Amino acid sequence: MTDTDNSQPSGMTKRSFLQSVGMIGGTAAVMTALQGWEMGFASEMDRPPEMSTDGKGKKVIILGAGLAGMVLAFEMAKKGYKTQIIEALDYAGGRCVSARKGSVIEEVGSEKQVCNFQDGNYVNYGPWRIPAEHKSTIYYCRTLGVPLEVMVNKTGKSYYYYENKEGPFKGVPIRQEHADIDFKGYSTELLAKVADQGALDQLISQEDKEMLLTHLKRSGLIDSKEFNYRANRARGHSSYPGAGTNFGKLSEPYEMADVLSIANASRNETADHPAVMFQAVGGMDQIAQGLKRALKKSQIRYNSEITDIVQDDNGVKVTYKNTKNGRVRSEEADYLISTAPLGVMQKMNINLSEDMAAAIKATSGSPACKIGVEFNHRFWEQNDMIYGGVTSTDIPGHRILSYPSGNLFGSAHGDTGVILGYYPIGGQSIPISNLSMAERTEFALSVGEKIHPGNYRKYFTGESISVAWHKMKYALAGWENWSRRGRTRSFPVMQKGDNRIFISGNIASPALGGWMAGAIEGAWSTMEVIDKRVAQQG
Amino acid sequence: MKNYFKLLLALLGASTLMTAANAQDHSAEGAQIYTDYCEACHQIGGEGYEDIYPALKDNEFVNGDKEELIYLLLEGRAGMPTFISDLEVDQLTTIINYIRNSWGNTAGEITQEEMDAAYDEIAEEEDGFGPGN
Repeated sequence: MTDTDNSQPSGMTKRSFLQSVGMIGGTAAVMTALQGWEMGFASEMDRPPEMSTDGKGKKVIILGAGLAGMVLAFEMAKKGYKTQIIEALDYAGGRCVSARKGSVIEEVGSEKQVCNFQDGNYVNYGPWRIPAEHKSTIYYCRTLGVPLEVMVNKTGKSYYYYENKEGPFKGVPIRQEHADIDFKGYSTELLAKVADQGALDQLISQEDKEMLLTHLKRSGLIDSKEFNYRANRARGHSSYPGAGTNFGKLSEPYEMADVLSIANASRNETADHPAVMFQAVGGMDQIAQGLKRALKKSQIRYNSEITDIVQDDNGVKVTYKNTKNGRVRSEEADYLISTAPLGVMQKMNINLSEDMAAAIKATSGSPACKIGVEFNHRFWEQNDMIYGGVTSTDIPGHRILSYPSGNLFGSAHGDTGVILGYYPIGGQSIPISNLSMAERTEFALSVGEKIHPGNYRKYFTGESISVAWHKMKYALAGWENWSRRGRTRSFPVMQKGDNRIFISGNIASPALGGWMAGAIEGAWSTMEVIDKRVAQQG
Repeated sequence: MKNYFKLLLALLGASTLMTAANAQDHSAEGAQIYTDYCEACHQIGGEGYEDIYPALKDNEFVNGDKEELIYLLLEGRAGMPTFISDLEVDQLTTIINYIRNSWGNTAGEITQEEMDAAYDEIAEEEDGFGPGN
């Protein structure tokens, strides 16, 4: 960023300027800057940017037919650019994939897996949940006719399972609703008592204290005289009420000390991981397929591995090899946008400037593993009342187990379903990727059996499929992130581009790493940068 | 590995049997960390895999500037992950000294103080929400 003019950023788009402001000054600074332009957040992110120029027939080569690459090809073609995607693999979608019958996953140096799930069953082994606030992702689903459905991200009925914390819950699956409400109940009790005893008098006014106590009492969690947390309707019943004189029996809270031994797990909920999220009906890959359908067939060249990229002041020449027949081709363009994962891009022979080459290195690839485990009975629904949601564990390399939100009650394609059997990310996923496919399945089964004893192994169909993203040749990571130092020092260098070469994808959205919205909005921000360049330089 | 032990023992000066035992444990721990966290990509013996995962054996970067290598482990580098959240700070020191002094690599060793200084600069405050997409 230049520092010659603080009010109007030169050489940067509004978006990139705001991102930089945000990194330095936080949200408040961004809001101040936005108010200066009389703009709000929403209009910025819920549709592609307006571009000031038409593309004037400029040719743009895009590396990678993932979400970012296809968004770029689709949107820039609409504006009069000639766009051509070069893709190393034989399919469109990149990491936006689902495995179903016939899908193939082949990791570097590992055995090839072919998915053999029953018809209708699938696992999203790439992105798997969309929060309401990711308007950009929802925009494409809506405009491309990709149906979305609710993805249940949190249900009280799923479990916390901790075997590495001492206490009475060690190795015992605990319903999340019980642990969560007990934590809230005891917190309410303690707060009400200290407020009542005057311990907050230095912190809040008398009037606010009265209001606080009123709300705490109205929560129904504590009795109104002693303020003790006790059995309540929020926690539910141990014996269910029914007709006639069956009023049921309220369940008794756990002891406070026991609840404290696990309650911190309930903090795993953020605005972008709310209880109700969304997924594409039939598999998240349908979003990628929607974008693919919106492109002309000739806009994606498959099985093409980049070998060399040479740029000069007039354009860029790309050389690539057909991975099936070895044929080498070259193609020239005015601009090149790489959406290749940075670990993959690093292997390409490109004459980048020193600054850009250094900027790319201020990032990291995040390893991630997933497994889909198929069952021939939805025991979690019928036995445990679990309909979607996530069970959390503290088993290294496991982290979570997620129940399917599609085909609820077996109403779409019968009494069958696929559980996401584990999903470790970062370094803890690497030991899992050391396992053979059979060992990975056994690991998933062994953990599942602890949470659902007597059922998990019993109803396993024998079919599973797993991925270690850091071992996929053209991904080498689940997603990429900027290092903390890189965010401030290197991201602005990357975002303005290097002469004729631009880098896009989720790495162009530092705050949205690993999200589909990161790929889409990253693509949008790159379009704006190129638009401005073309407007200035032709 | 021999040089590594010699260096370690020399540094420790009046080394006792106890110290020697610790040194051995140290290297065994390095080997275990390597197996768990590095071998999936960089392969047994630091051989690397084709042109996809670089060999660590005879690797200029590994044997070069130690500060760069420390930051690489803490922050990652393009496709390479960061291990700041997954390994303890002393384990990070151990694995660096292991790869710099294995398979014929004979780079100098880094100290815990050097790692701690970089770690303190890079580490972010835990926000309590944990990772995840």
